[in-house]
Amino acid sequence: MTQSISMRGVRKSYGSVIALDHIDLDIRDGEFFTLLGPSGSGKTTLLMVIAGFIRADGGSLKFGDTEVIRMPPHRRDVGVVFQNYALFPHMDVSENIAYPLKLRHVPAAERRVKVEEALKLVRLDGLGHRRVQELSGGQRQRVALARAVVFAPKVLLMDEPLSALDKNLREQMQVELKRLHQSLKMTTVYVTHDQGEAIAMSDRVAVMDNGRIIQMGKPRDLYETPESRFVAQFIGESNLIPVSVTGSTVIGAGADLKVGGRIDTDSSGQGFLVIRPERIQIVKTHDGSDLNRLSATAQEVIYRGDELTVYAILTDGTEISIRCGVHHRAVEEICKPGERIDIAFHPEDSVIVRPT
Amino acid sequence: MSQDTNYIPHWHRAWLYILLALLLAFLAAPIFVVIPVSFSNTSTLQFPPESLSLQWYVRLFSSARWQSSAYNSMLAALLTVCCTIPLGIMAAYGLNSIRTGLGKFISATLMLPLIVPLILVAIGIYFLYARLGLINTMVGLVAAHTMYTLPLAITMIAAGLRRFDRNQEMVARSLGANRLKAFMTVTLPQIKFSVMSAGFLTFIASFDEVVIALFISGGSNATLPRQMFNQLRNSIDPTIAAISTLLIALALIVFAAMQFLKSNEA
Amino acid sequence: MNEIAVPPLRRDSGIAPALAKDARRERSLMIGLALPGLFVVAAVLLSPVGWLIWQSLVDGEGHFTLHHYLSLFSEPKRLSYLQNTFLLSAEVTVICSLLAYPLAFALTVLPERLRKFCMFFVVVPLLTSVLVRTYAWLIILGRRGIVNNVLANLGVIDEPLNLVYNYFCTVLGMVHVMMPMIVLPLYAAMKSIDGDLVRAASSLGATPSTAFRDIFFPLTLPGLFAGATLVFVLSLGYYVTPSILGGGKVIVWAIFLEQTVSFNTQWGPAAAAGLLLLGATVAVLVLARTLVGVKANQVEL
Repeated sequence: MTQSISMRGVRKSYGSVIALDHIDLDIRDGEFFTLLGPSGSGKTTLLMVIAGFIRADGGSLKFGDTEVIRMPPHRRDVGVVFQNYALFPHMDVSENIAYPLKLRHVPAAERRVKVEEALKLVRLDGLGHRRVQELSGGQRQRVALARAVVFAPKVLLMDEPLSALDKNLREQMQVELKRLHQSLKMTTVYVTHDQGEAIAMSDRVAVMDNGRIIQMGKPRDLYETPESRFVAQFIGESNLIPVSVTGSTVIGAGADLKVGGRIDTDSSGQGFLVIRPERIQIVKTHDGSDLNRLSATAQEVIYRGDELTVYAILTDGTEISIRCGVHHRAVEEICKPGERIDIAFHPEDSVIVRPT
Repeated sequence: MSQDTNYIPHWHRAWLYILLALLLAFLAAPIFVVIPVSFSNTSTLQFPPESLSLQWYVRLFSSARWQSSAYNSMLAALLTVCCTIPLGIMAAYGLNSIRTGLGKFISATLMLPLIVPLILVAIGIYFLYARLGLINTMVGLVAAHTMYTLPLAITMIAAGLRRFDRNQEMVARSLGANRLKAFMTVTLPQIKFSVMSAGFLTFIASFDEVVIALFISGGSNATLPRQMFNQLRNSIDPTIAAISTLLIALALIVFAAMQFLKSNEA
Repeated sequence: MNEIAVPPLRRDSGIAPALAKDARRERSLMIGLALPGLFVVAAVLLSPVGWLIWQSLVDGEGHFTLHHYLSLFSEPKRLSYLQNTFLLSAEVTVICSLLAYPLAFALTVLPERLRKFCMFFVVVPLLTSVLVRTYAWLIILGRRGIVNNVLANLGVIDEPLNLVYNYFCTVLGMVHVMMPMIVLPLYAAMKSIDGDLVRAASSLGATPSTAFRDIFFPLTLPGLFAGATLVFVLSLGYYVTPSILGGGKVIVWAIFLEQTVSFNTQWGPAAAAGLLLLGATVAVLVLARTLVGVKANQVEL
């Protein structure tokens, strides 16, 4: 049976450096939960605290109803997958997977069955007698995964498990991990600095920075309603347009703007309007609709194969990027460097965040 | 370095290679001089010997004194390995996790035997043992040699631990092994070559140690180097050459073993 | 901000002290693992040396005195032993450095297989008993040894030369013993130099000799100093080689020390003589550290 995880006030500091600043977090049973953040944000420290490799300075950590914050790692029943796989080179594939079962005194016959099942689960059937050194990166990753789940742990922890793989393999493994999670329904905590990976795989994501959780929610909510400049910039690409807000009026780049989403400014009403590059259209004329409209000067058009990126400068000097499909042949005509263009976006697609 | 200096033709470097050959000859030649002399048939140190014989080996192996001192050295070296290696593993492991403050201080203290002049150490131990009645005892000798070899063993084992991927031990612990079990089943099997190298080095360091043994091993517990040293100061007959040849063989065995272990660890 | 309502933070009731205690316990466990080794060093090294320090500072009645130290310098002969020791160590260090540098350099430019072969000749002597290596010089330089034989056969000499049991022979033997101790750290230092630096210098127009002088040589200095410090410190207290190859004519401090122990019934004089050696060693290490940044932990193999 897997279990939910709940944390209250978990903290950890190294001297004067605060690695974890009173983390409160609830992860549901069976959830695929991702800790996302740049290096040094505390995401790996938090994972190591859950695993028991790093001792927190204080706080509460529960698996289900059991307090585990003082429990040594070997009694916590967690499966851990490391970035470098950490397979035991002096054991073959089967022995690696059988290791946690041996420690639990599972009888040899049952052990063999379970190892076979685990190998099948990660699609490595028949490779049980390979030496670890003979495996490819992707295969090692699968063995590490099989070893971490074979003993049916309460939670599965993964620390950047795919970052050592090349791009194609990484995407393939993302799909497989997701599939595996759906079949095992195991509470999974996944650490990554790759926002694309986090969005594609997770039920929920917590964005971390400086030892704190900045924002937490479903991938779609994080992408569409960032609550801070940090999240807006860290997840996906964003255009940030300086605006000032007075009452219900939003003025930015010399225009009166309408904002459908969340509005958050500092005390003097300053903020940044966040608009994603793919939500901006290039329009020909000022026609009467409720879209926000701005004037800009085109700088450059970059052909990326699957899309076109237009770089332009707004009247207040803000640089923005606009993405559109390559089938919009006309874009390349319109956006000659130096040409004046009109852009528009839907009020519902934008939010305003604080300047810092 | 081999690539970046290759643009200098090798013949420009001829002087360097000649010097290298001379220096290596200087380093190794004495060793290869000893071996022929041990097979000489005369009692004077003549090189090359006039004709070959095994008489010095026969004399060596029929001498109760040489035999007992060789046995003592062997026993002392084995016992020293048995003490130094477990202590060395424990200290290297513990200090590998604690690298600040007290840990640093302890590391430095454990390295002191490398810095304090051996003759002073020997005299100090001699004074201490005289009071404790440990002069000329095997226990005393092994304790002294354990102290003497510990820094070498710790250094080698710590190097092995640094190469070892600590994540593996963490994984083992998360999979259900306590610290000791994780160390025994995952860490130790992977640093075993460093540990064994340290063992060989400890053995030969103890076996060949002269100065401490000179002061505190005597009587029926005299070691081979002590016996040799006294012999060398009095008369130099080729029995010493025969022993030396055997000691060179020991050095070669240790060298070969350590090379083998090193290539296995890579 | 998240969907699950977070109850107000319960100030952790006693968990922080408990965790701190666990952390301390783990730390103690790790320190504890080093204690048996530390005990051996304390018992067999620190306590005897401590006892020597105390003995060197008290007279027969147990009163504090500097007499033992002062009397070390009362006889000019003893000062000459001290001088011998430093001179011998310095000569050995200089000769070793001059020989080891080209040797280590040659090792770095050799192709892999040949280098391994050459390494054999550096490492095997290190593993061979000092007595064997010292004895070998008696065979080579003895009255009926190789050198005398060759010279006699060539008709250069009628009478065998006295080549052993003198100062020259002692220096030779010491250099032989100490060479690997400096070659290995020097070789390691040269190996670790980024070849791109020298390449970059050549691409900027440096001739091989300028690149060597301006780039390579300065980078090898730390290794050279570390090796030289090791050799000097070991030479200061070296006993075996001078006492065999010196033939009683080369009295270094270690030999004087051994004689003091043998001929004195009191510990005081020997203790003071020994501690002077320790003091000299520590002084050299401190000096090496402040002048050229060699740390004590670099001075080991």
